[in-house]
Amino acid sequence: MPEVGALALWLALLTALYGAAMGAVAAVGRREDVLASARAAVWVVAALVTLNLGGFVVCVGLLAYALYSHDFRLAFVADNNSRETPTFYTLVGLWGGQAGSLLFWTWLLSLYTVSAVGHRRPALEELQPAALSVLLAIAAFFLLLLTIAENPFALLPEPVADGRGLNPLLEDPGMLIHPPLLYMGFVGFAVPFAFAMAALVHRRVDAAWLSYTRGWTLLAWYTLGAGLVLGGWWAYRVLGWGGYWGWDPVENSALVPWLVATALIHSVIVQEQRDMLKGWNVTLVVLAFALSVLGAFLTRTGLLVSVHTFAQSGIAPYFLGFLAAVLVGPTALLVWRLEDLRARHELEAVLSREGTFLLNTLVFLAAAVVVLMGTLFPIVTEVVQGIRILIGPPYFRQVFAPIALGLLALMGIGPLLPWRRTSRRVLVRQLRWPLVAGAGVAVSATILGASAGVAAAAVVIGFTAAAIVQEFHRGARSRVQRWGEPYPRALLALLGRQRRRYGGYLVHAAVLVIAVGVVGSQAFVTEREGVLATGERLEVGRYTLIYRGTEQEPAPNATVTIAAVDVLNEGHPAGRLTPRRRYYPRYNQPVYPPAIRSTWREDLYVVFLGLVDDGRASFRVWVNPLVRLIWLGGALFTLGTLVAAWPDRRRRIRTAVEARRQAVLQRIRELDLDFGAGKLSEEDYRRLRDEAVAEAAAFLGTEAER
Amino acid sequence: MIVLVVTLLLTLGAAATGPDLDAQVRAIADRLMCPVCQGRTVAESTSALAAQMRALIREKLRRGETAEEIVAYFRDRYGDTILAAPPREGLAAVAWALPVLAVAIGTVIVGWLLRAWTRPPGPGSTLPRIGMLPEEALRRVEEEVARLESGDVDRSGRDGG
Amino acid sequence: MHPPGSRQRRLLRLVPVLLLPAAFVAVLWYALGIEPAAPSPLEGRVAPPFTLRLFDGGAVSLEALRGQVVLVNFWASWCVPCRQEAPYLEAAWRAYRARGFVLVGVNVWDAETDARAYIREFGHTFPNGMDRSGAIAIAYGVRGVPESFFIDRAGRIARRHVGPLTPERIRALVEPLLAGGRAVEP
Repeated sequence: MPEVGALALWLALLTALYGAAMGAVAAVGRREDVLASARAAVWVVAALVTLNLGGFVVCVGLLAYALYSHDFRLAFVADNNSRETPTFYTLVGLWGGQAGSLLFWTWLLSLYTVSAVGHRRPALEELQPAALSVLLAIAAFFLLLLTIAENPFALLPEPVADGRGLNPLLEDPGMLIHPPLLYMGFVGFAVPFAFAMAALVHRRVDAAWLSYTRGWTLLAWYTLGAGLVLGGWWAYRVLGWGGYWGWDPVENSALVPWLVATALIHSVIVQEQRDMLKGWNVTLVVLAFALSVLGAFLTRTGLLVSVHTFAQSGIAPYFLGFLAAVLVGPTALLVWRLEDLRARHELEAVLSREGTFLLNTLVFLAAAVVVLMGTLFPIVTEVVQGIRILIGPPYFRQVFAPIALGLLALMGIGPLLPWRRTSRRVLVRQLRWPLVAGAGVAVSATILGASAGVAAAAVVIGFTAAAIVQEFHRGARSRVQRWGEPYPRALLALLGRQRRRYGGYLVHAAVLVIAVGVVGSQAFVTEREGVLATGERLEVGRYTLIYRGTEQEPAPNATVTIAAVDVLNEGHPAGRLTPRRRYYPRYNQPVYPPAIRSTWREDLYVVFLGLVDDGRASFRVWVNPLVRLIWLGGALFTLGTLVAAWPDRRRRIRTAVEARRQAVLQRIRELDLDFGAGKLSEEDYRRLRDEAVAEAAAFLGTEAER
Repeated sequence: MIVLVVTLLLTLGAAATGPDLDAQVRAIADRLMCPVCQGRTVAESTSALAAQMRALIREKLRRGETAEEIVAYFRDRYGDTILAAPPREGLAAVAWALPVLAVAIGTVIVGWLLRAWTRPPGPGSTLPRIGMLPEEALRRVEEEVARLESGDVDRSGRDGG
Repeated sequence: MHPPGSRQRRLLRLVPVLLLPAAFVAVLWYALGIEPAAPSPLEGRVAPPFTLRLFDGGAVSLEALRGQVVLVNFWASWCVPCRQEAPYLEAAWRAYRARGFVLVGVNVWDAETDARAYIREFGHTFPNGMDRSGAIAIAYGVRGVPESFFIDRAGRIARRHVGPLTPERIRALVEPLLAGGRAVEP
């Protein structure tokens, strides 16, 4: 069976190479031989991609079977599985190891490729062949890794009796979804990237490629973001160090592309509304994809962990070559096409929504640069000085916090400003209440004894929270006045009719909720360590813990000791917690799954470190305030993204002309909304609306003539 | 949203107590990287070495050593690589200069772009003017906008394209 | 479509822009080939003094060993590479002890029963004790086990060795010190 899998991978590689070449021929040929031959080529290539997909599914299926049946002849299975590994987690073994995750990655990419270029889309007719060629070239790279450097079907010279087993830290339900989500994010940027390249090649950097790739960008951005939150949830519940985010290289290399993608989905709005920032958007797409590749490179080659893993894996040189191609090729193309990326509209005033969007893009990029530099710094000092100077969480906290506050503030200010320009009177009317709210929160925080840092966070959070509430309120009020809807229905209608904008605000609210949770749990954490004899007590904030003894629990591959701890909340019994210590003899690795008593106010987080020599039990206990808000924020983030990205039947874009038509009409609608919400003076509104209507009329006119 | 802010404030009030020994240990341990882990500070790590380091910090604090003395001790024995935040001297100072530099360069770029792009609205615009267009075209625009707003199924786009 | 000079101008513009990503990839490429060094700041300095309570009762104080060549070896019973070097340690102890050499085993991050079983298993006869609080390991900046420190007759650390020792390595480090070699002061 393994031989068939390896053969399927080789076939897939050849098919992808052939398809990429055909796509390129179709893209070039279109210019001379008009449409017919290119269209045929698209279909041929799409069929080949589908064949690829079938090959991949077979490969993944074979691997899953090999894992399940514990066939330890396969090197990959022996490395990531053992007879003791619970059956449920044999699946995790699929992405626990190098080859498995690469294969899974390639499979996702092939699925995305089929979905993006497997069918004819009239709106994207021109761009599809080139995009297809790029996507298949990327797939060919991963297939090359799988066939040459990291073959998942590699056989051991002799079958072994038992495998090495799965890293015990991965035995958690969260591990079933967290890595696939991150991969979906990493891979997802390939599609916008491919279309951006196609748009540059064909000099069609316009509304069509943008409106088509928006969905893909959102998907990648969302899955990456959700993967990050889930990763935090997993760390918090399994690792037992009391925290959820450690600024380690693996987390950072997913955070960096997410930050760039967030800049991108904002910057795209400016191009749609104002025909500006075309060059920015293409650059951001390229960056998001390149940083995903870099993230995969850093985490998969083990460069940041130790050089020895690299020596074992051998995929690093290939990856570096690929990274070079992804950085240099598109940059060259971008510079070459600079003339096509000039803005049609110019900026009228700095104090406008496009002004804040521009600033927003830059601050997001600065945040990404800071995290990336901090992550790569040990490599840089190693090259320069020969030693690794580590950059730990405290550095990131100190440097990232002010930038994050800046972003939160922009999140409040941006939506309050109208497009194009702001009059002073409107500015005062828009910012009045949020500023009052921010100041109020800050003053109360200071009176309650908060540090300067927390007070600063409180100002920004109060301001932005009030700004979001005001946006919803004024939007709803404007609908009540215009359409006579009842207020609650008007609120819901905002989410239904203006999905992108108000879904976006929901995501903003989610970020704010997460921010409150992070500030609360970082600034007000209480921690105690104690070694207790049976019956002894440990005081932690409002809680008293009483140690009642331990018992052993049988487990197939670990020694599990369970400690019983009775909890008193301000003197009243509040149940029993049972933190565990799981010791895996095979790895000499203890795991400390915490027992958590979670409320909206705070989490009581108890870790049992084990018994010391005299039989007493060693504990670490945290009281982490407001951590639940972080998970709530994650849920709200999902809801907001769903609202914003839900396909709109009425505005289904089928052609490039239709995309442009939607854009000009939507601009008028935005003006009406902004005026209704009080963001524009009467005079500005009339002038801008007349301009927008004239533009739309001119466009509809030329469309009718066709 | 308001509830959120209020909760934050309540938590603030509850936690506003002076720094005790545990908090001091935590603060110092957070300045040191755990030597046997990947990317965790001594405060966060569950390893035996980190636990012993925290106990040692506690003991040194009880003996009256200052935070700076304790950090200096660990740096003396393990070298600069134990510091969680790089020292603000030598090559490591670059790490602290970089974010400032990134923000500064960013600000210069934005300032330059804003200057280059900002044009006051004027008659020089090449866009069509409303007076130059037929009444019927304008009415059609208004209809389409109203249709978007009321949520009618938009057919014109499909057969018109 | 473009004036003839434009292509040349664009090519010129391309060069500086491409330097940045190229340099970035070059740095990563170079970094892949480097072995990360973990120098100990203690080499060449006076070895931190300690007193170790031994498994078989009694205690050993480093200061009392001044004038002899000392090998301080940090180990744990669960550590696989420690098992590789365990026989060589006992052999070295037997071979060199008559010439003014002392081997001190410091057991860290371990359970006492496991540690004692390990000593029995390998028949270790050199002074061996448990560093319960980890204070000795921390004083020596120990990052993992096994880790060994070679101390000259003047009480200075001549060399730190990370990972399992081999007979050749022990000989290469101990012989010069026995012959009166000194640690190079920093």
